Amino acid sequence: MSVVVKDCSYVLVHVPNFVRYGSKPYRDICVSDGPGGELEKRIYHRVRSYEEALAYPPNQVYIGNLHPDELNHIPQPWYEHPISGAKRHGRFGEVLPEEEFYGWIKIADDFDLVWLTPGFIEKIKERVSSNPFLKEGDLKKLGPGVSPERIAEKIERDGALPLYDSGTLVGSIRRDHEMDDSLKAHVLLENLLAKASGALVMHHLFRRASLKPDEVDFILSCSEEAVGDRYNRGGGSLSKAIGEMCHCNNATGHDIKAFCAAPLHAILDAASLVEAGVFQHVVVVGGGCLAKIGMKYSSHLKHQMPILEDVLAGIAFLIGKDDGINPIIRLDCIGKHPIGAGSNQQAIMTSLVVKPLNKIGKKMMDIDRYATELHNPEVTLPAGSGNTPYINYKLMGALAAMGGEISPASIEEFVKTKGMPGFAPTQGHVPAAVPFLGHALEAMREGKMGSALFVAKGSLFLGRMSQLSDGMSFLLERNPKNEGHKDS
Amino acid sequence: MKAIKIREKEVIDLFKGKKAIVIGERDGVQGPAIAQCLVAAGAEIAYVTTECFV
Repeated sequence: MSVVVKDCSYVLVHVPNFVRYGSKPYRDICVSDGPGGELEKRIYHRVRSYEEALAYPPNQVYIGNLHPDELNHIPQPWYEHPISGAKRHGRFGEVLPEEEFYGWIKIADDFDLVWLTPGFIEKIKERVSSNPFLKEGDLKKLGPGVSPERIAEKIERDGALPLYDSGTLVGSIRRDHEMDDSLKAHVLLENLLAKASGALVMHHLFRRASLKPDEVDFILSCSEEAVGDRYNRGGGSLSKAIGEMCHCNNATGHDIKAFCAAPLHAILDAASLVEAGVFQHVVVVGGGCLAKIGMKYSSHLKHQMPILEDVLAGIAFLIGKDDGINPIIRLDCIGKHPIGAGSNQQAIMTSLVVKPLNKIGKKMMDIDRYATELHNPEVTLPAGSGNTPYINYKLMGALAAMGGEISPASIEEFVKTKGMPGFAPTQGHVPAAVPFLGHALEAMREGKMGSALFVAKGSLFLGRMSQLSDGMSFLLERNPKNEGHKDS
Repeated sequence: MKAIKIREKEVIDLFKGKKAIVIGERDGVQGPAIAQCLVAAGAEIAYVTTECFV
């Protein structure tokens, strides 16, 4: 039996009023002049409007309205070359405005953690209600709201965090334990935003795949958060929480943790469960990461550019049995970075690219496209963090040259033809190669592409338990039974 | 051959008696790899880490 990627979805949620709660801005604001101070004002002077975030070319690529290769033809900086007539909805998902997302947050909240004022609920109710994914039972959870006086008191006396809309206080999120760091307001906000954006992207997946939520057997969340309490920090399970919000009544699941490589680990686990016949329909879902919002804000301020890390990103994939149409995950061509492989980049990339391909008798040039970590370079370069995809593609090209497949002079050509520009928000797990999966899926269904290798690394050393890093890769191939679409 | 040996000796002594704090980068050269080179050049490693800047 073979395993296929049956469908996928991608969403962005524009969250300008949550930039202050990204890990880096939040820490810096706390140690400078506090909320409402000069630093926060400087940040908010550079935060983008929804329309600006929507028309940003990499964001349009992410939701499927442009192909990644089209970025090669748009002059940089891309934020100065918005897409004219950019659409909220794309082939793979949408860019959700913040006002509507507040409704999703409230609906995701099963513990009355979030209070919104009656006036704000009234303001957002119509737009939230018009969302096709939300049912009457969901909308009831918006409730009547809480008075601004009670909200102000909760913030003042009880460690709650203020929530804003266009700079105006419209609500709060409270802590759920006085002494538990895992249940403090900021952590609960992170978790809730991951849950709400994860549910949004999962709903999009069901619509794209024409799948009923009850048909899902198992859910693997690869989100970046640590749901838990003082006795089991990071214990989970966001997968079941997202599944519950999406009415997956027959599913269970668990969370996969592998730093930025988690989506690849999760997809391989899902594929293995399907291959083994344990489950038929497994969903891999990743909600957005609040901690990464505004991470490089200080460099963006220094370069007098917009703060580009203003969107939460969501990813979802449906893994199932061979349907004769969708591309196959080659389980005999899995790349891993073993403990004993060493930590230099050449060793890592050899383990993830050359070795798995050699195992099935393929060479690097046999593969049509490579997807590596697709961080948007416009976000990282001003911060001196380099152009991650370009660095990785160049190393892959060098490996092809070392293998005698291309000449050293052709490495740049390899980068151009086998790689692509980075377009994913710097959300940690999200750029992990899989933002290209949707584009590859469609190209392979249409017979326009034969194969793509997905490669991602994880920075395990950040957790201070090991100096090791991690990495996984898998090969996606056009389904040979898809006779309707031969080579174009 | 002799010239190469002299250069190796120079490298071995390059960081002799020095202590090193090593900060590597995930997509470039990681901390342990830099540390190995420095140890080979005679350094004593006081601290080694790798950071992720994306």
